Parts: sequence; structure tokens; C-alpha cells
Amino acid sequence: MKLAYYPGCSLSSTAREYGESTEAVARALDIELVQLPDWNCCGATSAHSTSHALSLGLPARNLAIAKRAGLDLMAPCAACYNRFAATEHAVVNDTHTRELVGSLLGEEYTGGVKVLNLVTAIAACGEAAVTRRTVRPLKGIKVACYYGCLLVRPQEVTGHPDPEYPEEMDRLLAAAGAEPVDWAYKTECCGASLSLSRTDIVLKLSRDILEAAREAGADCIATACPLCQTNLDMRQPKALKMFKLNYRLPVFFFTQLLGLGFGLGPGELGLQRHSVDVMRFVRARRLA
Amino acid sequence: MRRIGVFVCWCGANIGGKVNVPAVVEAARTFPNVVYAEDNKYTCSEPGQAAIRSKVTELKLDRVVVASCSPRMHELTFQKTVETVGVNPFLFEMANIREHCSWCTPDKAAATEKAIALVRTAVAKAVMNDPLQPFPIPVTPRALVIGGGIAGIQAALDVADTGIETVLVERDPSIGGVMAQLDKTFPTLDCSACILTPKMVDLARHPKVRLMSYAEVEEVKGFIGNFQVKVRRKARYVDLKNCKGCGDCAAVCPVKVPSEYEAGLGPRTAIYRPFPQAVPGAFTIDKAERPPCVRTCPAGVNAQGYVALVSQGKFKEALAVEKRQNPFPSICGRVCNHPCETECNRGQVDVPVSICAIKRFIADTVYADGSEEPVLPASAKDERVAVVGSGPAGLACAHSLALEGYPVTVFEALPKPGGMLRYGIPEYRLPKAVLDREIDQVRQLGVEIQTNAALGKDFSLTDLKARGYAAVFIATGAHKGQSMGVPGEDATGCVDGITFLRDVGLGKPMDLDGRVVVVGGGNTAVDAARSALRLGARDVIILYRRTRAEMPANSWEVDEAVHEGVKLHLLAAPVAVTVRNGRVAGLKCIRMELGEPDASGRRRPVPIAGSEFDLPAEYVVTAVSQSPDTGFADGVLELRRGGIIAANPVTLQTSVPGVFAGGDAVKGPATVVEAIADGNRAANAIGLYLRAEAPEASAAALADQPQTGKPFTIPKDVAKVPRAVMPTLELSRRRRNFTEVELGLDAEAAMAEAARCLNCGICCECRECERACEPKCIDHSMQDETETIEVGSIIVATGFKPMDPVAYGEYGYRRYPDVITSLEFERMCGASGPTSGQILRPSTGKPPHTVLFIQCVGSRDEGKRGHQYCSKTCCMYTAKHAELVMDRVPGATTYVCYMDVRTPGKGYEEFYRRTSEEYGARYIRGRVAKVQPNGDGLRVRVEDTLAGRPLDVQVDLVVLATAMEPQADSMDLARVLKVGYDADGFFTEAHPKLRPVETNTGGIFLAGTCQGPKDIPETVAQASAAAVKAVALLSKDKLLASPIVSYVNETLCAGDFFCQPICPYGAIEEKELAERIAGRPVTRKVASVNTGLCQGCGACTVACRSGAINLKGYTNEQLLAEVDAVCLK
Amino acid sequence: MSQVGTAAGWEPTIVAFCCNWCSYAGADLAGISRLAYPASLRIIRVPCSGRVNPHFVLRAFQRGADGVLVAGCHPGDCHYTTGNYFTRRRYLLMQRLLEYAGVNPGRFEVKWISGSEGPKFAQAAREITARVRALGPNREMRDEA
Repeated sequence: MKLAYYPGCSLSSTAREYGESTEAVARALDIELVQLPDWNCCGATSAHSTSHALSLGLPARNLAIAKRAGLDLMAPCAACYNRFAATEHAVVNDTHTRELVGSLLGEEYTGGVKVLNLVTAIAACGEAAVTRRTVRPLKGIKVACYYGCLLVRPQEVTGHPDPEYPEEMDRLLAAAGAEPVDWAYKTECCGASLSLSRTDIVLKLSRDILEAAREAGADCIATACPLCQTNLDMRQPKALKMFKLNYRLPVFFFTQLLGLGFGLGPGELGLQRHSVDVMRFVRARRLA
Repeated sequence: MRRIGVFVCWCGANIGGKVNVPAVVEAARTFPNVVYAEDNKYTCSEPGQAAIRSKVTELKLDRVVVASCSPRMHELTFQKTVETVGVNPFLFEMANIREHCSWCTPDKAAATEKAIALVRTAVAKAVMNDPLQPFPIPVTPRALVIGGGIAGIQAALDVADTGIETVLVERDPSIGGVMAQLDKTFPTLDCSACILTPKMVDLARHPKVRLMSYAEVEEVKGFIGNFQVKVRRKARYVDLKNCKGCGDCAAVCPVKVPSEYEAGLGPRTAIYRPFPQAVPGAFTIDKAERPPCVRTCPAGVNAQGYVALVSQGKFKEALAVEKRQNPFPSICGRVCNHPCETECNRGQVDVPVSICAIKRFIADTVYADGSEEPVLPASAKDERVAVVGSGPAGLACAHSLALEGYPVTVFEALPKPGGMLRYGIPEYRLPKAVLDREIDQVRQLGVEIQTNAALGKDFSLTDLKARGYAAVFIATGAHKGQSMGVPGEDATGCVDGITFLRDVGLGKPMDLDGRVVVVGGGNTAVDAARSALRLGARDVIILYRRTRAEMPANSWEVDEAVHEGVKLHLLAAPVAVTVRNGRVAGLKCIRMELGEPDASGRRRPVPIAGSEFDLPAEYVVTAVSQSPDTGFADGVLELRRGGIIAANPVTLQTSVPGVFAGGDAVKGPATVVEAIADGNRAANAIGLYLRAEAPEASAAALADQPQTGKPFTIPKDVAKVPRAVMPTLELSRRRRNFTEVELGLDAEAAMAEAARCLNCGICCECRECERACEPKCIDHSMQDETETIEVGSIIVATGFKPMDPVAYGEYGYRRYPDVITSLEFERMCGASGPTSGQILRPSTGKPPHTVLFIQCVGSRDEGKRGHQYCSKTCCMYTAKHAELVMDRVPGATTYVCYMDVRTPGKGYEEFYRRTSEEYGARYIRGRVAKVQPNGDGLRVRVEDTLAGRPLDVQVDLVVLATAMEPQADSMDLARVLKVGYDADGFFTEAHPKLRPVETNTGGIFLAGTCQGPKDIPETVAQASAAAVKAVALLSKDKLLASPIVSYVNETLCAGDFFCQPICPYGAIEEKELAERIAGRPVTRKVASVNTGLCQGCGACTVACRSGAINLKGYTNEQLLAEVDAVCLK
Repeated sequence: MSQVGTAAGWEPTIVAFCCNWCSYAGADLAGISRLAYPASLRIIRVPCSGRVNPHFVLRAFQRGADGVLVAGCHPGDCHYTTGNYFTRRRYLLMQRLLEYAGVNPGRFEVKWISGSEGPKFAQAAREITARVRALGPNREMRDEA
């Protein structure tokens, strides 16, 4: 499989470990990632909260580049993915947007690029492929797969069969030997970019998610979104302290867990970059 | 020359104020064919009409034109007027000089001029008018009601009470519909059953009503007053007349499936009555298509049947079911390759049911306690039958022939009967005792078995004839082991698998110390290998040229072999046997790799050049293949390649009449169950042959029965249950002895395993009900029947279905047991329901303290998942549910999340107020966002849109008020009936205000929720209305149809039928026309209009190229005359 | 009879074929609501717009009509369920035919007017009259009398 790879801003900054593990896992599964040439901001957060035009124009430019490259566009970051999917959907279904985009890009973009997130991309290789590649099965790891909102919603944009109860990440990690838990917070909101403006809200929401995962018997969480990961990982100590809870729940990117299963080293997967330490967890389970 | 009178109306100032009426009269007098014209103040008034009447008679007017208001206002009035003085109403014309002239033209001159033009036009048309007669159509005085819910019942009763015959067709086994599932009805809270069931009984007892339950309308032909309706009466497998409804059958039925009546909350049996008060009260057997296990079994053994019986602990009954097709259950229970398990639907849920182990359990247990019920052979017959070969095929054949009463002799070449069962399958898989037991059972039926008697050696086919055998079945199997065809095979210590196993079977003393190499990958190879181990071999190697995946042997056998210590040497083939002074010293082999797939679809192994290697060994067993030894055929029997006997695949008859053949001798090496299948098949064929019915002719009788019945769908919420594990002899005790390895399941394990069966066939045809039924009214061979009934009018009352809320993932229906639908809640409240009226949490079985109701699930939702319309009843029944909770669960709290509360109806608002104010149900205005498990309950997140803040409500039970939807197949029925339906699939009425129960198709009326969501009172009212409409139609013996219909000029008709597809009513039929052209008789096809169907739209007239088809009252000539006149300046 | 002079002098003759169930009723409503529209439009009642044979339209032009309007129920509302669908298809072709025959297609129009759309009928009448008036008298197809 060959994909146009859109790292976006976070995969080289706040979520470096996501970027590293993404590339490592892709290599392991012979997914060829071609970084999108001359890519620009996906239009998430600031752009689409301030300018409707930019929220479509910026992603459209990236889509246009991918189209010229003749490749499907894969964005690991849920926010980037959602921008691309939403724009693609709007361009295809709404003439007005098509004109707007055309005028902004100075070239016509009429859609036709398949937009993937990393979960769907890896799922496309098939669980069998994951199992085949697994050398250190993630035995006894009870993981709560946390999808967040942007990966699956809104349904007409993502076309996800069940946005209330997605399962593909669970299946991938199960294929690598882990034991995904059945829990109800898979797609709850983590507070996202309110992280800065209304930290109190994010702390509560993160707490709810962490608690739900723990009640469901999970001993770690897997995410596919830099912002979710930050909120659950970086904010975790504060969130739990605020509610008088004193435990720690490792928050992985699902690619890091897959990578461990594939026998990749902690360095390749950026395991040292977490604020809630994960190395003890990993060592305790003989995964590194 | 016509005599037309023109009467121009002033309509007071309405026309007179704008139009110069006298001028119009003046002009009219000048028009051709007009013999008289006058003006009246009000032509529609009595003086005006009197004037028309007198002038018509006085001046012998033959046509009348009135220039006044719109014909939509007074055409009928004036038509009647002229009719009284003998002028055909269709010779009357009207000029609309009010609505279309005086009222919309401010300019007087223009108005006058327009009026004149309009009158001229009307006159021009009148000239062309022909007298028309409305023609009568006969009426079949019988009504059909489709659907037996409250709407259908009410309509049928109302029609029948007027003395008109009524047929009610209901697709379910009982009438009653959804109302029968309800507990209480709002706003009076009276019990649904108490008001419905009496009506159901009335209907059943009504002398004028014919109830066709468990039947469906398939096709509707004809037109208003004259419909022919084809009805399919589904096989009930129970005789309606004689069934007393005692329920003895259901008591013994081993199959449990979710009950539709209980909305899936409770089980029902395969033979069932939906609910105790059902009408008719007879039971019905629910059959789906034959389940995969039965379908796949070569012998067609009814696996679902005996598995179901085991689940109920009915072991001897189960054995009887097994033995219908298979006389050797305890043998097959050990050695069958059970393709049934491979196909088992349970495999799609978790793991297939362990059918084979269950089979073995049954036989072993029942034999052990000797409780088997003996099957008595039919009366003895004279024709003797010889069976050659006592393997599974031969014995099965002998067994079934003996049961039919034929004297059978079996000839066996070897010292003991059983064929490959005895000499091919080693003791540790199939103990000889087990084998002997079932062979003895065959003997006990009077079958004589002569051993050491080989066909071709000790006797010949002709001898058999001479000895007076009327028919012969040859099942000599495939006992000739094939050689590898490599040098050195004749060395001592090298033997073929078949011989090896036979010697083991014969108990020849053998002591293998040293290494044994078995060549081959089939069951023979594995059996040989495992036997070798038991005979003391130091180590055993299986040499196979492909990979393990390609090994033909049963995978579980290979697993056991490896488990016991047999080594697999894959992707290698023998090149030569290394011989040292006459004895085997080893095997020279070569490595292989897989190439292109061969005929068998498996990848062909190709040798890797120069990869030869030596494999030292003391013994070599070659189990590469085996073939039938058919030397006895010597030209008498036709053979095929490989020495197998040629036999007709269906009848198994050979080239020699009366001589049949089956099993491996015909198929080449195959499985035990296939052999048994052949044996049975041969027995049938021989039976037919002896009864002098040529088997070929009866091939149909022998061929497999075709698949029938509705397809089975695997339920979504089946809990995963681990498969029973077959206990085995531990390794240490397997060495140097042939004790059986598999030990069999115990009763508990077997019953638990049997309970995993999904009952894919629903009815498992165990026939227990047949035995239980006193009046003997059960007949599993019943077939659907279709019947065509003649009716004059049809009332459609097919009702609705509640929506499946699974699409609303955020509510977690099916994922969380404590989220249920309102219909499920109704059943919970039902005194006779699954919880006998207690409101309980499905998860805990305890009463809920807080219950939250979610309104508008699927209603008032423009999104893809729901419907835009309001389902109308939910607000009220939810209020009712809330009250029921608070009545039945002391101290319970109820919440209702709503969008709006809609209570239009007598006593409805009062009821709602009582619920919210007196009972104190808490109404929250807002659509629920999410339902999540929280602690041991559920947390419901909803925005209170009145308070403008989000709420988290902790509850024990959530009830979803699901939308009303049309029946899934409503569109299909609409097409059959040719009635319209809206975007949602509800049938559309002829007019939303003024014709709410009629459809646009004459004679077809609507009642109840099939037309749109409505509650019971409305439904009943509409049903009665529909009944009146039907009666009004049927009480006439003739209908007068409008004469405005198309007609065909047959001389012009070219018979190209362009008119046919354009006609929305299918009113154009083909008609043979016989005529003489140049004295020669010729026939040609012309169009002919069915005036009963034609509604007079005239679309056909435009489609006709030759202008042969025309519309009465609006003929081309009339309209062209109008065009000419209107354009005249 | 000679042309009736009004302020504008020449007034076009428009023939309107109206289906009995929708458009004819619509025209009635226009009158009942006293909505004025040019008197030069005259209505011929047909059971269904699907009954209107292109032949009638051509005949109208031959006889000197300056414009022709065919009005029927809205698609989907046809009293005869499908009649107006055929009208629609037919008159897409009709436009072309007229053009081919040298008649300005602007003289011909198909409209969907329901029984409740009195104003729409009046409006349609005004529009087609105005347009045809602009096109001038029909000289393309009328038979010289």
C-alpha cells in the first residue's frame, strides 16, 4: 500500500511519538508513506474557528496536491483527518464550496481524493497482517480504545458505520494479542482545544474518561489523536489530583502498542516522551 | 344540421357587470347550428332552468349551450335539466364566462369579446358532441379485507354485519395484530385484550366472514366491483379443523425461538400458538429452510432433530431420529468426517456445535441402558436381495431393505463383516465391540451375513440370479492399495497401508521396533502411523509431498497423531526404497516445493533438483492411494477408469438391470457417511425396481428434495458459549495398546453442547409433536396452497411495524440490556407476559427504581436514521407507561424526555396532566444525547432545553418510544394493488381531506396505520368508514361507470400497442380480430379498452400513431373544433 | 370579427389547454379571487394535460394563435398518477419541433398549476401574453385565410 502522508503540525511537535511510531509501524507493515510535498496547515482549530473560508481552503490545497500525486491522503492526526474528510465531502456535495475553493486555490478542485485516518489505513491491511507481523503478542494487556470525536463524526462526513461504538482500533490491537475492554466512553469528548481556554472543563472530561476506562478494567488507554492523548496524558496528574484520585493510567498512541507487538524498540516508538511514565508498564509486561 | 339553443346568464352583475350580455346573445344567434339564443338573470335558478326546458321542447332543440359560471359549479345541474326533457346530458356544453371571463377581465369590451369567443367555442364543441350512455358494470358482492389487526377486524365485522360476504386474509397464524400485544389502552386504561378478544371471537364465529389466517395476497387482477385475488395459504402443518388447541404438541417440542408476540422477551416453541386467546386457536409449525447440517450430510441425517432432542434430555427419541437415515450412529459418532460441523451456522457466532460427539453420546447412552425402542420391519416380502460387501454401504442397504420386509443376504469376502470399518479403521478409533453391536442390530432384522464368500472367487453374479436373488447390490469397496511406483517397494518391511491396517485389524502379531516411515497424507496414512506407534515403533514419520494444509486426512486426526509423537516430514517425496540384503534400510527422498494448482485445486508439488536426501528406516508403509478391486466384473459389468463400477448416479443401477452398485466401488475411496448414503439410496432404488417401477422413471423420487421455506437469519444477540471438549485417553496409556482414545461426552456436557444449537431450521422435524397429538392433525408434508377469490372491493388494513432503534447507537439498544422498546415494555406489563405483569430490569430481574422514557425515537427526525413524521401515539402511551410504572413499582421515579407533548384527542390532555401533575412524572424537554452504563445502572445525558442546561440522569431502565413504520413490504403490496404510497411507504388516500379512506384505484379502501400513524380510536373509526364505502359499492348489483372512456377504431388500429405502456390503469388489452381480406380469413391483434379499468385520462389517444384510439367526450374532433373556434377572429 | 382594439392595439391570442383537475380549477380560483389577466388568453378544458396532442398545438398555431399554454397538475400530483410526466417529456420535444418548424419556441409553454394556485395562473397568463406580445403576431405558421 502506498499513501500520501500528512503529518500536520503535531506529529513533529506535541505528538512526536505519534509521528515516530506511525512511521515505524507503517514500515513494519510495508505501508509506503510518501510525505505530501509542500503541505500546509490543515485548517483545524484556529483557522476553522475564525474563518469558514480558510477551514475549507487550507485543507483543499493539500487535497489538490494529493490528487496531483494520484494517491489516497492519510492523516494520522484526527483533527487533520476530519478537516480533510469534511472538505472533501463539502467539495463533492456543494457547488458553492467548490466555487469558493476554486477561487481560493486559483485552480479547480472538484474532489476525488480518498481520505484515510491511520486506523482505517492499517485496518485496510487486515487484522491477519497485524497478527502475522506480531512477534511479541500484547498478552494480558487490557486496553481501552479511545477514538474521540473527530475520527468518527459526523457520520455523513466520515461515513463510519457506527460512530457511537467504533471497533476497528479494538480489532487491530486484539489482532496484536491485546485484550480491548468494552467501555462506553470510546467517543466521548476530551475537551479538545478548550485545554488552554477552559482547562477546568478539560480536567473534568479527562477525569471522566480515565475513570470510565479504569472501571471497565483497562490498565492502559490507546488513542489515535494527538489532542486527546495530550489531554489524557499531560493533564492526567492534575485531573486526578483535582478529584482526589491517585493512580496513573498509561495513555498510548495505538501505533505504539502495535509497535511493541511488532517487537520494535521503545526508542523507535518514542515511549520516553510520555508525561505519565509508560516504560515501567512496558517492562513489567516484558515488551521491552 | 344541429338545433342548438344558447342561454347566456347575467349571474346578476357577476357577469352582466362586465360582459355585454345582449351583445353575446346577438353574436350567438349568428353562429352556425344555433337556432335560438336568449339571456337569463340567473340561468341556474328555477325560472332559468324552466326556460331551457320549455325552449327545448318548443323548438325541438337537440343540443344546449349555457354560458355562465364554471362547469365545475353547475355542469351537473344543467345536464340534469336537459335530461328531463329528453336531451342526452353529454349533448350539453358550458361556456365559463364568469370565472374565466367577467371576473378576471377589467376591460368591458375585452370581456365581451372573450365571452363571445368562449360561447363560439362551446357551440363548436356541442356540434361535435355525441350522446353517451354511462355503462353498467356487474359487482361481485363480496369484500376482501387484508390484515387482521383491529382495523381489519372492525372493517370485516362492519361489512359482514350488513350481510355481505367478507374474506379476511391475515399473514400471521392469528388475527389481533399489535393491539393484541398491548396491556392497557389510553386514556381509559382499560385492558386491551378485554376489548379486542371478544371482537376476534365474533369475527371467527361470524357466518358471513371467511377467515384466511397464515395466508398472503400474492396477486390482484380485475377492477372495481370485479377483482380476482390470488391468495397463498402457507402450510401450517396442522389441520385447522381438527386441532383442539390442547397444546400437547408444544409441550413436547424441543425447539425454542424468540416469540414474536412477546416482542422477543420470551421464547416460543417451533410448533406454537402466538398467544392463548389466538384466533384461530389452532397451532402452527414454523419451518425455515433445511438447516445447513442436514443439507450438507450426504445421508441427509437430521442433525438438528437429534441435537434438539438431546438438549431436552430425550435421548432415545434422539436415537430414533438418527436412525431414520443412519443405522450406525455409534460408529459414525466416532469416525464420521462430519461435514455438518463445517457448515454449522454456530460457527459464525463462535464455534460449530459438536454434532458428531453428541451423536456418539446418544447411541452409546441409549444402547447402554437398553431403552431403545425397536423398529418393526414392514410385512415380509418374497423377493430376495443379495448384497455383496458388508461395509457401511452394504450394511446400510441391507438394513433399510430388511426394514421394508425384504429377505436380504450379505456376502463378505473377509472372515468378519464390516469392511473398511473393521479392516481399515484401527481399534483405538472404532472399537470392534461397537462395530459388532450395530452389525448385530442389522442381523436382528433378519439379514443373513455369509463371510469368507468373495464375489468372483466363491460365486458369480449369474450364480446369484440362479439362486433366485431378484436384485443385487454390489458394495465391495476399495481395498486395493496403490504402490508408489518407485524401485525397491517389494523389499521386506515395505507394505501398503491398506494391507498393513487389514493385518492389524485381523490381529496378526506384529512387533515393529525401529523407525517406520509412512508415505502419504490421507486418513489411511495417519491411521497407519498411529497404529505403528501402538505396535511399538521407536519413531514414526509421515512423509508427505505437500504441506500440512493440503493433507487430505481429517485435521483433528493429524493433530492427535502429532500429539502422540508422530513426526511430519512435509514437502518431500520418495524416490526409491533403499534395500539392504532384501530388507528395507531406508527411503531415498527428494524435497518438493509447491507450484501451480492442479485439477484438485491444490498446488502441485514439484521436486527441487539436487535436493535428494536419505531417510533411514526399518519399515515403510505406503499409503498413497487405494482403488476398488473389481476383477469379478469380467466384462459383465461396465467399468470406468480406475476399475470403478459404472452406475447411474441417481438410481445406482449398473449396466446390468437389477444389479446396483455403490460406495467406494463406485465412488473410489470416500467417507463412511457417503457409503451409508449410497446404501440407503440403493435400497430405495431396489425397492422401486422390485415393485416393478422402473428406477429411472422414479429418479425424481430418489433425487434430493429441493430447498424450500424462508431463509434463516442468525440472531444478533447470541451469547458466545465454549464448545464441549471431548475427553481423551492420556498419552501414557496409549502406548502398545489399542484402547479407544476418545472417551465420549457425559450427559451434562452433551446436553449443554446441544443447547448451543441455533435451530436454523426452526422446526427440527423430530416429529415428537406428531406422536403427542391425540387427534393426529399434524402433517409435516403439507404444502402451501394458492386460491383465487372473487371480490368486489378490497379494504387494506395491513398496519405498521415498530421501528428497530438499533440505528440510534447513542441509546445503546441491544448493547445494554436495560434499554428496551415501548412494545417490549408493553409485553412486560402484560399480565400473561414474560414477567407476568411485573416491571423488571432485564439485567437484574429486579424492579427499577427510576425509569426514563425517550420520546420520538425515529420520529420527527429529518436525519437519515429516522422519519420526519410524528408517530402520533407515543406521547400518550408513554404517559400511560409512566403511570403504569408508578402504579406497579411503589416509590419509583419516572422521567420523560420529550420534544413536544402532543395530546390531541378526547381525554388525552387530561390524562397527560394527571401523569405529570398527580403522578408526578418528570417531563424533561430535550432530546437525549447519550445513554451510558454507569455503576449498576445507566446514565442518560440530555439537555433540558427549558432550563438551558445539560443534565445527567441516573436510571435503572430506559424505554424507547420507537416510531411507527409501514410494514417492510408495504411497497410490494402497493404495487400488487396498484395503489399509491408516500415517501415513507404509507398508502396514500385519494384526497387528504375529503376522501381519506379511498385510494385512487376504484374499489380499494384504506383502514388504520397502513395509511399513516394513528391510535386505536382513529383506526377503528377509519375502519368503519372504509367498511361503509365498501358496502355502498357492494350493495349495488351494478355500477354506472362514467362513459368518458377511450374507445378503439379497430379498422385504424395498427396493433402496435403504443397505447399499452402509457396507460396507468393497464386498461388496454389485446384482442384477436378475425376478418376476411380478399376473401381470405386473417386474424390480427388490435387494442381493446377495458372500460371497467379506464379512467378517461386520454393519455393513450396521444400515444396512438394511427389515431385509432379516441376519448369519448373529449374526442380529437371535439377538441380540434374548439381550437378552430377559439382562434377565429 | 375584427380585432378588438385596446390601449396596446394588437393583442395576441393565447390558447390555454388546462387539465380539469388542477389548472382549470386554478383558473377558476384566479377568477374567484378577481385576479385580472389579459383577456386574450382563452381556456380549453381537457381531462389531463396528457390528453393534449401536439397536433392540437400545431393546429392552434395554424389557425393563427399567437401563443399556446399547456397547464397541468404538478409532477407527482397528477389525478391520473402519470399523465403529466408524459406531458413533460412530450413538450420538451415540442419546443424543438417548433423551433425546427420555424416557430419561435417562446410562443409555447408548459406550466404546472395546481387548483390552489390562482395567483400563479394569473401570473402565468400575464407572462406568456407579455412574451408573445413582444414576439408580435404569429406569421410563422398561420394558414393565410
